[in-house]
Amino acid sequence: MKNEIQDRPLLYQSMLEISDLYVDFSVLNGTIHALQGVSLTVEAGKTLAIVGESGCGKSVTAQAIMGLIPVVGGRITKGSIRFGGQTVYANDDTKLQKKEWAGKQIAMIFQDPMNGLNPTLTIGEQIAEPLVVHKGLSKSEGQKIAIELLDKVRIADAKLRIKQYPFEFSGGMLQRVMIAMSLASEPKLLIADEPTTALDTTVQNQILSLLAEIQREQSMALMIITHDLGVVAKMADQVAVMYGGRVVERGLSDRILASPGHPYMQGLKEAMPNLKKAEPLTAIAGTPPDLSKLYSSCSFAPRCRYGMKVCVERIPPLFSVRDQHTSACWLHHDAAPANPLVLDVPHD
Amino acid sequence: MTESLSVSETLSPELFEPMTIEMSVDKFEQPSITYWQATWQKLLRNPKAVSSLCIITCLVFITLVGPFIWTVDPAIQDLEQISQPPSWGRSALVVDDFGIWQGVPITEMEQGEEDGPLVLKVIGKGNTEYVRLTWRPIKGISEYHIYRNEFVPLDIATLGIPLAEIILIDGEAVGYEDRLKLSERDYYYSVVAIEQVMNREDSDTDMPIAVYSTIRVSVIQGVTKADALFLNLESEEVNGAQTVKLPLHPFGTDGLGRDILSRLMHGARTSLLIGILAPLIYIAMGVVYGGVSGYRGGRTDEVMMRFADFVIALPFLLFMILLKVAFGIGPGESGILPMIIALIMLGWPSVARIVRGQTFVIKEEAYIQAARLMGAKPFYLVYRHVLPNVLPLIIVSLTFAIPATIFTEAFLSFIGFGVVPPNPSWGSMCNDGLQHMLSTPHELIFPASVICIAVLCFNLLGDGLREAMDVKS
Amino acid sequence: MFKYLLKRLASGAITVWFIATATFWAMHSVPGDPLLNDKAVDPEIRKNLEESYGLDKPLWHQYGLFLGNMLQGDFGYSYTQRNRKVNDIIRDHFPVSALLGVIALLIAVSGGVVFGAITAVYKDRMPDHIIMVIVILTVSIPNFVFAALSQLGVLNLNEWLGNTFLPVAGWGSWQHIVLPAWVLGLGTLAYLTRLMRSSLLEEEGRGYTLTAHAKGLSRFRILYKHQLKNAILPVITVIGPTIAAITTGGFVVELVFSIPGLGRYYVQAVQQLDYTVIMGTTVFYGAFLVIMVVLVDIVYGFIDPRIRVGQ
Repeated sequence: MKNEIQDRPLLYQSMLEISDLYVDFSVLNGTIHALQGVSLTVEAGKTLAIVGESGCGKSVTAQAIMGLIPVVGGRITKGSIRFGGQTVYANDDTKLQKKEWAGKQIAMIFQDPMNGLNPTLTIGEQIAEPLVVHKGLSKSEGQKIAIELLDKVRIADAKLRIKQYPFEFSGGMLQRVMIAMSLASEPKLLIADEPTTALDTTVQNQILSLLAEIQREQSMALMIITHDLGVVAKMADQVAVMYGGRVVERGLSDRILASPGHPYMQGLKEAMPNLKKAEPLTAIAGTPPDLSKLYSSCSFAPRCRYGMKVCVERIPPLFSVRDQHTSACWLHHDAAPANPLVLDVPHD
Repeated sequence: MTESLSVSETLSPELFEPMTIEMSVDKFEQPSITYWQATWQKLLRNPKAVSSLCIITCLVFITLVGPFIWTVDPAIQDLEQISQPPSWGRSALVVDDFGIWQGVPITEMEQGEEDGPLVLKVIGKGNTEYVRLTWRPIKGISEYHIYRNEFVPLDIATLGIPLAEIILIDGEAVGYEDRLKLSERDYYYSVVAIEQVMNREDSDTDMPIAVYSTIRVSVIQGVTKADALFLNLESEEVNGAQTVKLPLHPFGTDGLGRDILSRLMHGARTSLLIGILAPLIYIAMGVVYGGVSGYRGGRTDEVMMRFADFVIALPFLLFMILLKVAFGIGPGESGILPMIIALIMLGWPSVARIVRGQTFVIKEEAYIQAARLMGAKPFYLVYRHVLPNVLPLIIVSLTFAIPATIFTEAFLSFIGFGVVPPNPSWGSMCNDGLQHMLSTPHELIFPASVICIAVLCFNLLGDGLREAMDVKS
Repeated sequence: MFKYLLKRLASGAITVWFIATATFWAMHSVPGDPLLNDKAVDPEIRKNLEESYGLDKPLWHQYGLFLGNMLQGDFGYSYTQRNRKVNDIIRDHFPVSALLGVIALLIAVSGGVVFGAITAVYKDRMPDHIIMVIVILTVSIPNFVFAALSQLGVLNLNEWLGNTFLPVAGWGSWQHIVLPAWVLGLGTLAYLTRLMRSSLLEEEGRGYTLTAHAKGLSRFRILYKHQLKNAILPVITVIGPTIAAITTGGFVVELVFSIPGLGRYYVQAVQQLDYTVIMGTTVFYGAFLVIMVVLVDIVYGFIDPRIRVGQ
């Protein structure tokens, strides 16, 4: 079993480390196991993209880092998160994250900028709030910095704009405001949860370029959550693919994009429209797994065209596919057939 | 460091054979249930809603069946038992009919000391019909004042209410008969002998000197022979005295001696009839109005909704009163029908507005457009697609409209514009009970509790349904 | 903002007209004779009376007169108290009702906001459970029952203390206001608590709350700086109907506590079929409530920047 690995030694200094994280949500008729053993690392100054379809646990992972799990009504049942020498364990409350991380060393921007800002406060107040609260700046000092930050995210007439309310801005503008707000506390890590999903395509590119530029300038780490492989290709150094509350593939982004090791990632890639070649798009058949149960199998098995008996028997561990590319699929096991039989996956 | 692996374990090659569909189905498929099944299951998981549903069912059952089992007429006044607290059967002493009681002739009295203290005596047994007192007069004193208190008098200033002032005529009978609102309890009667200043030779003061004496009388329930005969009461001998069984009032009686249990059950018919019928009708009206308005859209919708807006803007209770009066039933007449009509006239627009909004949204949905392209008729569309979508909303509105209507009925009956005696309703019973609140609170507490319980249960059920059906309020 | 104001005022005026019309036609379809109280009236006198009240004219003419007088703020003379103008009755007794209502409203709104915030912050914990049980019980008790029970309670308390801690009926001093205002406000307080709670919990799920948490703000700051203002907006929209509820609730409270307010006179007028007083008071109440709703809308416009700056 030479290629079954634990985790490769880190080349870069890892800044954020998530180990075997489990998050549950109680709902009316049972429990949703949103994360079922997620492990991730983010390296200083690098960009990690987390990819996956809706409900795979991408956003929950981000919320866990920020200490937002209790806020959204869940709880961390197992695992730990380490950042800058401090560790938060399961069942601990989120005091540490709230006091030391959130809004200071780690900042986050959300998917929907229209709802992410308070409709009854001015933009300036909201941008300067972390400074006023955490650094004890006066209101006027805060406003001054807010103007600088708005300049930085290229919003014209910043002086006027800080006195306006969110409804007076367009979606793209609001996302810039969100970025400005997250930069106020000069974080070491910025988490962007689907920052462009709610925006027009042209605006999407502007925002992504802005993020990349700011990341370079501030030399901070960026964790970008997306379901868009285009964003991954454009932004990410590394990528983690999530499915059914687990990380199923991770490694350097160009390697994974070039030849995905996991059938799910292969499916995602095939579902991407390609402007250069006129090929029919293929969707991944089936529906995402029901997270109200904890699987003792590969949760992708029912949708997988290479499904094997082992897939329903055991959870696949991460196998090394090549250097800096691991994949949680039994196909990479030594005993797996080189040319697996392609199954007819039931469509529903 | 991720999933714990049994690295050394060898996996048999057959595990890597393709899986079968059955394996996949067994492991991953789950049974599907319909929306209504899911709603019902969610509701059953809510203990508050389930117990409320049980209580409401019981309440409706009692209302329908109760009056056939407990057949006491709610309008019959049992004047022997006014404002009686709840009890399981009471008996009463049969006593003489009303007549003039002269007192005890002085000649028949035991002779005592000439100038001794006042000695009080009760003649017969003190009962709720009368208490007869006599005393041996003090020589030379002919004026006596009678007082009654419910507590032990401490001194001459606390003898209680004055009942009579009696001037004795020589050689006549001595006695006083109290018939003033007697109830079953202990009384302290005091007789004060008023010594005229004139009569005392050694007096050097103008003040009359009073001598008094107090006796405790335990009053029991009594009923006159005539009444016992009239009411056809079953009589029996207890310890040599003739007693009768009084009619049973398990929840007591009200200020006019009417049976509260029976009134509660008949009142439930009125209150629940209004509370359920009126919302049912105005919600149906609202659904039709809102459905038509929303479906037609455009100009029709604008006019229809503007009118609904005006009706909503009318102050509800003010116009309830006004309409109730306008429908020809003035105060003092029982008005169940006018009340229902008034409720309907004012209730429909809010439902119409909700349904119209929903219809508007649903109408634009792709599946409706598709159905329309396939030639579905408007009626069919509304019946097949729009109605099922607004049904949860309607059901929740109904469960909240019922307690609100019960409240409105109670409010109107309370201020005297609702259902009026002898037709009982919970609200009018509260109104009646309020007058005796201080002396006999059960007359208020029973109907008030029934209102509270009914309203509470409907509210809790509504909350449960809203949650189970996931309807936004 | 100006356009918004104008629109609200115009629709308010139309509503008042609608109320006046509805009142007039409802009252004139009442069977029964307004002058019936004067038994065996001489036909001559009766004719004079009818003339002085305008009852001899055709209905449309009466309606026109009624609207005209109403526009000048004149509701005519009472039928039962011949030399008393409806305006005087309103002027004498409305301030009493208004004072009671304002205090009740203050109790209800402040209590509702505070208790609603407490229940939302402590959701699914002890304080939330306790308050919500009390709330659901309170909304299930009719206000007249509550009025009677509180009277009974205070009477017993007074007896136990041996002196009058609070008067249980009448009007005249601030002590007289305490009990009725509390009874009048309580139902609304419970309703607003419920509304505030669900409103705040809705804000809890909003994106900006998550953003605020991600900024590392304390729970308290998020509540008072971010959520409160947003959550109060829906509460403000129901203040109009709330005032209506308190106004009509006042009828009962004034009856039970023997308070000489307009509500008690209104109930009396309906019982005596005093047409002019009923019409005058209904239109007055209707107009008052409409004005309150418009005022609340305007206040809302000032608080919500989307309306204040937007239009």
